[in-house]
Amino acid sequence: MARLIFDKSRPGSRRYDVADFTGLEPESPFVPDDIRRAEPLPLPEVAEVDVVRHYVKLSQENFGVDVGFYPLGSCTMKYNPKANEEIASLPAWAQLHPEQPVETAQGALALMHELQESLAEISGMHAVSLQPAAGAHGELTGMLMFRACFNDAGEERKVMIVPDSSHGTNPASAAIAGFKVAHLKSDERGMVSAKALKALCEKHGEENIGGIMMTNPNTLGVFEQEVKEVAEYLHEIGALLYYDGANLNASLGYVRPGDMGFDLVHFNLHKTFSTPHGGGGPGSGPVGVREKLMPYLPHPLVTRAEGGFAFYRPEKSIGRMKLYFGNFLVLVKAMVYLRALGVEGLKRVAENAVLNANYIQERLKDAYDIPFYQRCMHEFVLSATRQKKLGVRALDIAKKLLNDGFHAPTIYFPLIVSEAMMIEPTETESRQTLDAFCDAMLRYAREIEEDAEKFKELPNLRIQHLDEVAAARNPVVRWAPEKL
Amino acid sequence: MPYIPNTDADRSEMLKLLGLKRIDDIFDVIPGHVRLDGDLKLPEGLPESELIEYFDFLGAANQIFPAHRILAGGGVYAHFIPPVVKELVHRSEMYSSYTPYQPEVSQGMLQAIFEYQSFVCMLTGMEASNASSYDGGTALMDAVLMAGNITSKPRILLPRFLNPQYREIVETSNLGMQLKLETIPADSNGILDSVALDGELASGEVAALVLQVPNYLGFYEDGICELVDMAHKAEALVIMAVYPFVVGVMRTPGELGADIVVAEGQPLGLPSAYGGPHLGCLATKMEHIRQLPGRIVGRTGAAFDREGFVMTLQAREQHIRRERASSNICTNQALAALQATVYLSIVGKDGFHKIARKCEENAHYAAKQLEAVEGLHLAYPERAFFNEFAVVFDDPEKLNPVRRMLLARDWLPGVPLEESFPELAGGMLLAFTELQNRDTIDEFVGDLKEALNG
Repeated sequence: MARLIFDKSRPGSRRYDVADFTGLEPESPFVPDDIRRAEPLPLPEVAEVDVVRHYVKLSQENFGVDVGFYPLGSCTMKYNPKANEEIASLPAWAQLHPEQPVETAQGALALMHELQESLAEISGMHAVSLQPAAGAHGELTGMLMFRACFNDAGEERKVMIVPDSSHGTNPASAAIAGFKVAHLKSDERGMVSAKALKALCEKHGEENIGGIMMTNPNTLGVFEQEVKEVAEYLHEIGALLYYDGANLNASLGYVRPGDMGFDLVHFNLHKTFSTPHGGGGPGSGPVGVREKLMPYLPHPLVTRAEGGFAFYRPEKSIGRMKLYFGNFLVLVKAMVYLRALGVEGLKRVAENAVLNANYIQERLKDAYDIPFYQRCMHEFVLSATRQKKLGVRALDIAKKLLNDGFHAPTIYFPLIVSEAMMIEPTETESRQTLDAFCDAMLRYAREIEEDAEKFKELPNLRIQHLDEVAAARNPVVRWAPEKL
Repeated sequence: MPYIPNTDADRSEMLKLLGLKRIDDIFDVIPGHVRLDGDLKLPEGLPESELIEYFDFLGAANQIFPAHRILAGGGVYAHFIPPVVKELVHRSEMYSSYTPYQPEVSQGMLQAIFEYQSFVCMLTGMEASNASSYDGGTALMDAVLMAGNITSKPRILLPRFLNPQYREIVETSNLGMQLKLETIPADSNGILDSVALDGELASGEVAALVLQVPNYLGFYEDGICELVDMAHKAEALVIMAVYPFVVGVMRTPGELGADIVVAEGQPLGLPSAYGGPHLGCLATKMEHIRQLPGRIVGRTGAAFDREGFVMTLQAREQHIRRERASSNICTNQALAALQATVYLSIVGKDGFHKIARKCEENAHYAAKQLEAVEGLHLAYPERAFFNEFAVVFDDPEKLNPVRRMLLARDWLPGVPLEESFPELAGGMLLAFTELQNRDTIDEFVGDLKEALNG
């Protein structure tokens, strides 16, 4: 039985001192009678030392980049520099109140302005909004801007195209923005072909096409060869191109979404720019746009003004996506990282990320199937179909990696590869680490051939085979006191 | 180069395996006509010592007010954060992990989120919470979308004194959803117009009535229970947006009849951080759990008769359902949720109660002193409030000069109101937390008087 913080509560074991509290009646004299609380809320009462031990224990039951190799494809689990953390937690940033007059927050505006400009330069865009809180939030922002731009032109354009290899957030974001989603089948190279795209657009009526959401390199880790043709065709029919920046790590300093013909890009600062992922956020998903979409950006944006910096609202702004200015401390961390790397450092990131991925692919290519084998960018997808015939699925291999002290790759994604294992090592891993991972994977391939059932044993995992079916059928999603 | 461990020797051996000579040969799959010509126009990298110097230099251009002299609220409040909170949230096993897709090695974060969900349910009086939304405003957007899906009705009623940014977030996201957003007006005493409300509800098209408790101006809407009843009689849902600490002195929103509850979690141990990262709390009744957007963690059985935690009900989510998902959310605010969880564990039953009581005690003491000041008045003196209230200068022209003088004395005064509420020209919000005492409040009132007469 997992012991929750609530199970450790002992009445009276935690007194919390609030300065100058004496003389206050326990019951509020200020709340209207019909809504007044009679008893204090029954939160747990746990001594400070026991709270500390509880959460330190939980952290010890968690695997992060600081624990070991984390080749989770599409997630860019690179090392999170400690300078980011240190600087972002300084009072100059952390204690700044968002309702301060801008003249008392010029350091923050300067930082945001520098980040806006840097991201625009990196992506080949003209302006950047830092407001979205995560990648999917950036996608929604972008889709709403497309929608506003079409509304402005008096066009319906209801259809948004997403390749069948795309992230699930792409179609979900498009749907919330009111688009109907059309899936485009990847070709035999795992790529978007201009010909297939044209056929799909003609099927839905070219005048109905709002645009396409693409990643490049795509989720197979390959660079889309026809991206320029795709952009030219879509612009010709009045549609727009969205660039999902989840895979930007491979491109830094070598190729820019704006130069490929994209109109809008979102960044994942918690991936490419090393602000930690935080166990599922907070992230940050700024959007950058070419000139045509600049009037629709969410406000507030930061601009230079006389004697400093100011906020402004673009003339046809879609409005506001989030409170205040985005996940500000995440922006600080991204800016620290950018400043640490500089222009040369960014190129080294892309080079080493791509080299590391290709190195693993090359070492594993004979032991596992690689359906779209070719030079990859920052990640590649292998398939455990050969192993499945022997009774071992991608899931089992993933769990074996966990058992052996590695994090697992992303599995069963993209959906167009069966038994998919998507491997992204990032640039912050050494060849020694990659070799240890490859050695394990090669050993697994042999062990599976020898004895598939024995392979599935996971002696090192304290907890395994969690019953996900029961969890969904009878959801237990909270602890509650017996009497509230 | 920082953070890259491979040596030149490593790289050349790795390239050899790939049959390549030079490192940039690795990019020759990128068609030449899209490749960047030349270098990005960015500065050179900085060594860590200079990096810290550079950001110290930038940060020095921010004015940081002592916490007890921050009287700005408007949704973000300067509560005390015990040092133990930061210490625990900085465990890098937690912050350097991804969304817990692999439960075998993520029990720490999963259990913490389960505890977070439990805390949110206790605060809101609900039965099911998600693992977090981005902030209070986007959580309201999530709730509105949910209400539309649950009821299949098109109208959403927003109260006059809703946080203006919340309203704007809902309006912006609604560009794609096309719900009809209507505002219920208020009279000169700040009371919501029940005739107008009745009229809207009578249409039979209302998906939800939104109430903010306390509202943006800090006061409790008059007759909350009656408003809830009216909405329920018209088969509309009630969405309540609450300030977490108000539940220290008020019954839970669930006890007041809410169907969906949202909250800005920043007051629960998160720094003001220039507006983010903060935390969106979103909870509902069990009957609506399948419409709840975002990650949800559940408790379940495991091998060897053990018990553990997993992300559950994933059939609602984008990575499974794609365009038919209940929301597009993927990365949320997990670490902020952990922070709130640790904070609530640390303050506990005793602290939560005392903080809530001290907040309202301070605010009421301040209001009483300010009422006696010539040249200003409380905007809605008849309304009951929690820790924040609006004052209006008799001469609206005085507002800006007074604010400047207060700033010069290291006070951060509250949000000016005219832009969002034209009827409150010369008005500003003032918020109090447990960090003030009578002496600081007396000092503030004295400084304000001087500024007003100066």
